[in-house]
Amino acid sequence: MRGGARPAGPAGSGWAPHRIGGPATLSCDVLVIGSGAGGASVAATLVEAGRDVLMLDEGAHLDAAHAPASVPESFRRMWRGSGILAALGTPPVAYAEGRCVGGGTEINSAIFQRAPDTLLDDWAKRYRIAEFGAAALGPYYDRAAKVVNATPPPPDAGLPTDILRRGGAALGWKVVELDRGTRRCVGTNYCSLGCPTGGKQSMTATQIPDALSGGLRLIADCRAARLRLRGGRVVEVTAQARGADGRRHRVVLRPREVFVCAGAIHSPALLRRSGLTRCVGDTLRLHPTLKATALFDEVLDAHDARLPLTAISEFMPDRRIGGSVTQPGLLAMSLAEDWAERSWLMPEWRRCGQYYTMIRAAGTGTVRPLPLSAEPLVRYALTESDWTQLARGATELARVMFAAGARHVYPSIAGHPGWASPEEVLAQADAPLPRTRTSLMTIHLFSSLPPGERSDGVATDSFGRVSGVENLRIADASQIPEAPGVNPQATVMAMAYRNAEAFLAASGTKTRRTAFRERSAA
Amino acid sequence: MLQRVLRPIVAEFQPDWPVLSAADRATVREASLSDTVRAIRGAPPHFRAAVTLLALAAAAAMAVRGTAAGLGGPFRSFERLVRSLTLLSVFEHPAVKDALRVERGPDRQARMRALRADGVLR
Repeated sequence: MRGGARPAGPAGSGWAPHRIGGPATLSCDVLVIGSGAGGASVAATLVEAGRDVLMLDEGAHLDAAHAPASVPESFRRMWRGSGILAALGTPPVAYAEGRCVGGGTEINSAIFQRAPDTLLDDWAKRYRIAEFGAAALGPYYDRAAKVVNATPPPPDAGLPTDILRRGGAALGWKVVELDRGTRRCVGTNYCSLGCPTGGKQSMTATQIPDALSGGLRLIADCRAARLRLRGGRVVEVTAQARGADGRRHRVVLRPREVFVCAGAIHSPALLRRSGLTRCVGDTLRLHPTLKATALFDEVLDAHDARLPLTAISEFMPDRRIGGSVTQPGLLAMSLAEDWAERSWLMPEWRRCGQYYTMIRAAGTGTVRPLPLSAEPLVRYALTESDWTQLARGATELARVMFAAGARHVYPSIAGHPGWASPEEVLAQADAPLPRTRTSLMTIHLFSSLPPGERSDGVATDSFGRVSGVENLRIADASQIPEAPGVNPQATVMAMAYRNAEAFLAASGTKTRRTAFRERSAA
Repeated sequence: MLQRVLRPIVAEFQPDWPVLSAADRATVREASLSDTVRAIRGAPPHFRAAVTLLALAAAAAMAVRGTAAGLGGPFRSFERLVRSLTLLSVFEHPAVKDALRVERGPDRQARMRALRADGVLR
């Protein structure tokens, strides 16, 4: 490592990123900004092809041996903004992002779902994306599934999972088992805190160490601030690094090629700060999610079980019903909505579970950088049809909870008295939700830099190259054209492999495309 | 400043359950104040500024009304945020976990690591 960067020392996983020890100027063949599902997939592909890759992440690296042991600690150390982020609107939508090496894959549940074939094919047509669609992406999904060891849940996944299975069965609704990227998972149920065992196959457990052993240089605690462009090329990237002593150092990077993989919020924010504005950060999409707390007669002990690993797929891709991690602290947070009326549930916490309905919304939002701030302003507006979907989703969620044996169901709507019977639910079926008192959240954000060959509404070409900039590419959730209705990690990885291989092919690097290889093997 | 302003609000938002000893209650209250302040300090600057302004106004209202709850308007989001952070911290505190007979985080991590090392899959 040149220019003042030095190893941070050994860590429990046997590897550690570099940290910057002073002002530095670094050069590389390819700079990858962000180390989440997109960045790690690009880095792995390029390193395998023999390229000199330098990867930055704004956050620190916490390996499994040093994973946070509590939710507040995890929020501080691994979640962006200490977990306090929201897209402003009516209502604001709280959202979560990882801010650590490995990005969102370190704090998600590692659920691996392919986007529906019909959606992929539809996007290929409407956005005019070359070599896209279900058939074209299939081999890339296969590669992603293999990397994270995507496997179905065990049959005895626990009562919180069975709740959805039996509720769905009682109503005759389709239930899908959710594949997850795990290897010898012991069900700690701390997935969103940072897996303490290494069972979750996040990027720090899979592609990052593999790429490091292949020559990847990784710098943690280093935030890309701005791209400097000249003659239609990125000629320099300025960054700010935090050294081990806590001091901030200016870093100048001079790459030949740049992949921005900072996620659906921070990729467009970086481009806009750098003067690139055409179709940048204008079409943010997300999965608005309404949660509910359900009280059962039986003891669930959800805190000690695996998180629910099934989902009601009857209404997919428009709406999905699933389950959340339930721990006393997280349950209390949910009840804080209407603490005066709902605090009585806390002594019953062992009989409570938290479930949700998630919609594939049509609404869009914007990402705009703010002066003197590293965090952009995010806005989001639901459409009328989104509110209709949410109202239907709330009804379906309550119905399935009662079908599974719930005694009370409380949606995340302030002032809502909750439902005490399925008859009450049906009497109020699909009733409009109060817009200012409904609490929505999401952990799925995308579509802020959509690809394609259309003349309007796309920020990059079909393979992630930013319009008008020869050596700047995108590979993260911002490239997913619209909401996929499923957890996005698999699609992010598949599209990142595709963009990286297209770059290699365009730059003359001898490498076989994944699709070609898979077809040959078959 | 933020800590001073939030102290009475976080104290008001302490839950009545589980019942703790006076000493544990004081410890938990201080820890939840510290966690809440640290979380808000880690929030994006535009959120931090808004929360700080609302905290000042809520503290002033509390001095008059005796409570920071139920102020309505923009204070609804503020109350939900501070109450959420407070409750999260309280129910994650080791003393409360002991009262709830929930395994403490480090103990659970150690047990699960040992299970995995032994090849025991739950």
